[in-house]
Amino acid sequence: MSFSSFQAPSNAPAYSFAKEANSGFREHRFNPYTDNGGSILGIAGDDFVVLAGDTRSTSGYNINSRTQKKVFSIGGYKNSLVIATVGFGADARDLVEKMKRAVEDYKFAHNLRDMSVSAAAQQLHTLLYGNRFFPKYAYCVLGGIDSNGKARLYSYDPIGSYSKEGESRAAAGAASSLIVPFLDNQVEFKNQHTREANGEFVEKAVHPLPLDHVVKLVKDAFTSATERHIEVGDGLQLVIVTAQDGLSEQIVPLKQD
Amino acid sequence: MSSPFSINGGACVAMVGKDCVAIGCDLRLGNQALTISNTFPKIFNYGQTYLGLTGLATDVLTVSDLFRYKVNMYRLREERDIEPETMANLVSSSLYEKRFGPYFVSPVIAGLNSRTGKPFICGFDSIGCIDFAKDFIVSGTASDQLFGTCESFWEPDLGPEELFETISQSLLNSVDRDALSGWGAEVYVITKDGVTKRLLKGRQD
Repeated sequence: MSFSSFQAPSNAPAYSFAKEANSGFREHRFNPYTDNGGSILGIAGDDFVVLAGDTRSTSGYNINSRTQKKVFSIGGYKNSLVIATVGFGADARDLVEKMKRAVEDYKFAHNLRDMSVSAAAQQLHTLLYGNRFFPKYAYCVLGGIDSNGKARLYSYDPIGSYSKEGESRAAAGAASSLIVPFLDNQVEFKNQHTREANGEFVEKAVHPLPLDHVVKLVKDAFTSATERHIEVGDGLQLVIVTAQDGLSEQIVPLKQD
Repeated sequence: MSSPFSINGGACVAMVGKDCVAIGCDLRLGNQALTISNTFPKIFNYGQTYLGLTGLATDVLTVSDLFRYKVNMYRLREERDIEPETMANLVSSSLYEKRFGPYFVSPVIAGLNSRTGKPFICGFDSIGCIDFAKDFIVSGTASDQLFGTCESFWEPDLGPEELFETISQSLLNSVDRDALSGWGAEVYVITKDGVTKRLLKGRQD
């Protein structure tokens, strides 16, 4: 079996899978991927990160679970590292397990020092890129607090490409196309202008948002996505990591239809 | 990308407010990834009724002209302007007439009923199935994005100015995340006292 014969799910990610020419005989083949739907979202404040995901797991038009979490704590520096994943559930799970293991191993290999967010970010890249030719079909968002007590947020494609500078917000999954333009406007104030003293309009300056406001945005984003996307719904898992209070989780109900 | 609906690109949205409606579109005309024009409005008016058309540009022009003809004939026979509800049924039956060789357009209608003053919006698929919505209608290559922004920003009973801001922000932020839409926008706000048309610059990339 050649790796190039593997087919991604129908709404496949944008990288190139070589498609075999349709010539004569067709062989029945094992398809190693499923798209389990759902969406995730992450927003970084000044000293906190919010990672969220809906708790629905689907295959096709079926709902496999209404309580499947997508956000996971993986320990690390001040126990602040969190990963959110969407895509193929099994690959996502395996990835999180491997990250947990890597964070644990790091500790014993580095004189009981906890793994930093930036190190975890690089580790996740290495893990994903290690599967370059049989990718883990999972979109990841990684969040945490750095050694200065500042929030960090990274987002990845299935083969591990990410930005070391990090992001202020990230969304992935089935309803990312619905959520992203909303976040552009509400987190980075895109298309918003303020009037200067001389009467000129300038782009509204970006500033970190307070936690209660971010939580409101996340809930709004998911209630909207739930309304218009069939793969999103049931519950909203909200994981909040702050520099002072550490990790907390809450589950908010979403529509089940 | 070879779908006739996404060769030229474009986006359109209509919203209901309190005793007012709004309809907006982008201005891009493209050939796949290449932008051909940034002055290609997709909203056409037939008296007080407004029709937005996204999809294959040649069909956008053909269909808009076809309805210009049909509405003019209606006006001559009835000696009055067409109501948006009537226009909706005209669009629906005209599109279904071409059931097995359709125009590749996704129309949107917005208007106020001239007798009752009731706001009316609706959308269609390319063969004329009507989507009556109480809140908003989206169409075009940025429809996913528009669903997200409209569902988040829209609320009931917005006044004309609030409605303008809501539809403009929904449209602008959506087309900025769609490579096939954008390059400026046009927004109409329709009240019983008149219609205001505004041109929005938006991102030029």
